[in-house]
Amino acid sequence: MEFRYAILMLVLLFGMGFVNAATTYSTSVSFSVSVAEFIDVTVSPGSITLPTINPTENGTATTPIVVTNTANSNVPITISVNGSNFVSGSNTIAITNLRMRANSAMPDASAFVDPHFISTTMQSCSASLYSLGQNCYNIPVGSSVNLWFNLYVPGGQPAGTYTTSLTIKADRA
Amino acid sequence: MKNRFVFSFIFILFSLIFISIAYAQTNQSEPKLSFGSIQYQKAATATPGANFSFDLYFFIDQEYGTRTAHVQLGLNYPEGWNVYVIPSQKQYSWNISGIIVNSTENLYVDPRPLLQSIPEPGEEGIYYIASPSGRGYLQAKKATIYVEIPKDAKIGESYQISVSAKANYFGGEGSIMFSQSRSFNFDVKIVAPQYTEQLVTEPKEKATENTTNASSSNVSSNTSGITGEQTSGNQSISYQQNQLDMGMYIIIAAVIVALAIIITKYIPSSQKPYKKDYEKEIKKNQRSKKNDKNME
Repeated sequence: MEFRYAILMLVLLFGMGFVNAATTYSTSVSFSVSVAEFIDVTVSPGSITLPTINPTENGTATTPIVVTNTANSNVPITISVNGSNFVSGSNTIAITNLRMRANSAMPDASAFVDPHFISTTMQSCSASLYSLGQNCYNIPVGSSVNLWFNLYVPGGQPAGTYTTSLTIKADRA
Repeated sequence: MKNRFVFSFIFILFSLIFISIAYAQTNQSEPKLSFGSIQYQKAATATPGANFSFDLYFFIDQEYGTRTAHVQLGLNYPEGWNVYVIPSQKQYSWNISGIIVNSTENLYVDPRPLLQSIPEPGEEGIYYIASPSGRGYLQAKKATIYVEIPKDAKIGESYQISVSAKANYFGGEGSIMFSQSRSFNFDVKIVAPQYTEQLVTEPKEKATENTTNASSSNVSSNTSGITGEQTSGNQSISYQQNQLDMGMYIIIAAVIVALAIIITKYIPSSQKPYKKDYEKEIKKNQRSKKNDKNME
């Protein structure tokens, strides 16, 4: 083997190493280690029925919705709520006429005032929103909160059976 | 006496049956909508162009939930990224008390009991995860979120991927029906493929020597003001450094190629010097032999 070709090959290999170092594009991912977050929430019962309400009056459901942060959770939770408008055929009642309070017993109708209304956008419980005798924020593991609902029916609202659906969101407090 | 005993026994038996039926009906009329979730990872650092995935688990503990949750997953991610979830959304048909209902969902989670031990073999698609309550193993279903980071993702930037999960339940009757939702946020910090560390500014020794109180106040104000700027400054400097490195590598490669050309052109063949030397030796020997003959 010729000596000069041996040198040439060495130089080229050296050069390839440099070029490779310059062009190799390594990708990597690293995860941070943390304790897994378990959130297990029960809503019971799955639906509630409001009483028959006359226009310009309001009515409160006789039973609450019980929200429980179960023993399968390992973090306290804060509840957020949103909903869609009440619908009966082509007639609607704006969801903002529905108000919610967290209390162990049924609150007086006077407790269902602004700003404790439900909106189409998610609104989180706080000390000044929805909480009354019970806090619906920072709910410890294994604890429950009673949520009470009151609907105001605007004047001139056509008669009918109106329904809506609410979404209860649980986030780590 | 005997008749009284028989009558009492029958009365107690019927009472028990009635109570159990009433209890069962109460339980049926008041469904419990449960939704459990587990998130293991919340953040990651990744290089531009990297691919990775993270898992979310969903479960319903039979003790807390009586209805199947039909889970819809939604994704929110930075523009230019490719993020998708497995299982993908499909349309399922469910027979709900004799009525066929169509539902678009990624997965459904049915109520399952806590297990005292992991069964062998386990059920396909079910993951057994110890409950934080210590009461046993939850039977969970998994959703995997796959992430493909674009190659032009900015180094040093943090991006957020949000996954929303909505659990819908069938069979609700009343004025207000409920569903549950949850959101999972995942932070991704983009880092350089190679670790680099370089001093950005040389310490200004003269300034600190000459000034006393004034300089110290300047330094303190600088350090407090730098935090924000320094971060962005470092980012741009590291980017420039990367560009410089690339330039250097190209120059080195060009020099190596030039050297290779020079070597092939100007270094003589390895066979020739040896051949010449050999021929010279032969000539020398021939000459010396001739001289010896002449001398004789």
